[in-house]
Amino acid sequence: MIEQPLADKLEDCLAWMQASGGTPEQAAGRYPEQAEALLPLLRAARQTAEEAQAAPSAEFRAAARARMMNLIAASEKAAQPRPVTKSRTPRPVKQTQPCTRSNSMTWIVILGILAAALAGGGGAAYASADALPGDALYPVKTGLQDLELAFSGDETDIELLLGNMDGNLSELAQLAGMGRYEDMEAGLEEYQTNLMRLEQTRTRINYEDAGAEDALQTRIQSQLMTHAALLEQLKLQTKDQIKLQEKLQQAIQLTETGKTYGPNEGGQPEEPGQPNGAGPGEPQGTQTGTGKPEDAGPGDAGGSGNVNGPGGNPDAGSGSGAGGQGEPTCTCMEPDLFCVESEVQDAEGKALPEAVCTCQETGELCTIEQGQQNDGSGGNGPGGNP
Amino acid sequence: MNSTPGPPTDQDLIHQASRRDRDAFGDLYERYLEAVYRYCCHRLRSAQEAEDLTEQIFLKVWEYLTGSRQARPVEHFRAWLFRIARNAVIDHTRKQQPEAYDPATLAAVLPGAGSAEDEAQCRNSLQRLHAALDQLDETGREIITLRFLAGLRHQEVARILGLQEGHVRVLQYRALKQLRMILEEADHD
Repeated sequence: MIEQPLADKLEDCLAWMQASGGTPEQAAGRYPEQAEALLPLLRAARQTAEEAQAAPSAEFRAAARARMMNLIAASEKAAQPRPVTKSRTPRPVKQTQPCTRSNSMTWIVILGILAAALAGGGGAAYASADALPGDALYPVKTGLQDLELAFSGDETDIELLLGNMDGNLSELAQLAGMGRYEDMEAGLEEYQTNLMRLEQTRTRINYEDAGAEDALQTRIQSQLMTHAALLEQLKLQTKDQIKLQEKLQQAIQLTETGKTYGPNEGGQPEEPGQPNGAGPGEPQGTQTGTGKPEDAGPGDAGGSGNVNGPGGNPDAGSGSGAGGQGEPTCTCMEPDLFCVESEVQDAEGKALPEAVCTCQETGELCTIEQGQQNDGSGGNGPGGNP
Repeated sequence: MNSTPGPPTDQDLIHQASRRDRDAFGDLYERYLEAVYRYCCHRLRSAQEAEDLTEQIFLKVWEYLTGSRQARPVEHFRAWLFRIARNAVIDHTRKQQPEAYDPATLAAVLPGAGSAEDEAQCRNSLQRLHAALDQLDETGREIITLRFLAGLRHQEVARILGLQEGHVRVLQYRALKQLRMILEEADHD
């Protein structure tokens, strides 16, 4: 690369300025032959750094530490473990009631979480919006979602559950990027629990007319198709995680089953297990759902598969995917954004052989629109894993 | 002769914080508060949102350090911290409508902003810089922000973005070159 020698010298000068506090002129003087090219860039760098030295307000600074300590205390208080059933031994399905919403234990859990969230001054509830499976605040997040479901009707439940499932996939992608594979298993259980609830709810609705039923089922199918594609991407991304692969495959199968169910395609979905007692070959459920209520809404699939990737490799080109007949086509969920191929790294930072298709601006995983074969795995999120 | 011990290193504080030592975490927080805030501020272009998000970022750091899932020690703390910050900014901008850009509010948090005249000058400089940054591609903008506004080393930027160090140097060179041209053009207009 022709620019590399000059780029290296520029960095050397910048590092020298940073360490010594020297001027751009002095720094450029270290390379007299390139000084003419380097000096304006060094001046631009110095000017940028000097003009933008934003600092938090004095009020914020003064109380920052104390407020952080309060936040920590609130989050720990709110994160008292909620009862999560994780049965290791599959139990036969015995579906006696369609949903646990009226179950008194659920209400106790919900009220407990609500009380804990309120005790935290609402801050914990706010802070939990970004929590991931395995985080201390995650139970608050799922508890609030349960609460929302408990107070809504069946048709709204569908929207909430689809939103929660979008959120689950987004969380899974973030966890994959961080290499938090064990937490991904818990995240998958939440996803499957929401999927089961969705199936239960969609069979329970009394539709006003066939048109309304068709419209809703078509929308569910479309969203589940996106979910299956995102799960496939996650499977590719975590292909060295054998245990996780099995669980992802199970989730894909369940999602595929759900997406083929509909008024035009006939066939009932497989009987979903009770949230707390999945049958053989069926997922283990947990009491509560998960996801991001704020993402819920008709047609909002944008939350799926966000990986916060590295913003795309500028050398990898741009455009909306591979295109071509029979080739998988990557498309960003949000309009006017382009997909780019980015390098994928494992948790240790080693490059994996396959690239990933992510939206250039957001780092979100792109959707594979055509072709069943994915050309990319889940995104490489520069997440919390050191 | 007694030698006075220096301030604790990041690793010391991380180690203590991972044992739920809130004081140590408080020290770590104060050490990096400003850099993280500055990064958020320039990415979100909102002083208030930057303050809120900075707190959330450090709360995540605490959760990680004290959580059971911490499999490996944090070796490159600054890079790791800013990876979390970058993710948080991306998540935040994805979920929330950005506030209307108000350079006046933002200029008020610049140290040069004392008198009304100074503040006006800061506001203009900041507006000019942000307009120039907006014309860079996403990676270039991120590199400039992390390198010169947050004050990270290029090796750390490479870690955060998951790129090779040599690649970051070239991208930095290109971004600076473009930024300089844009700023020059703005000066001429």
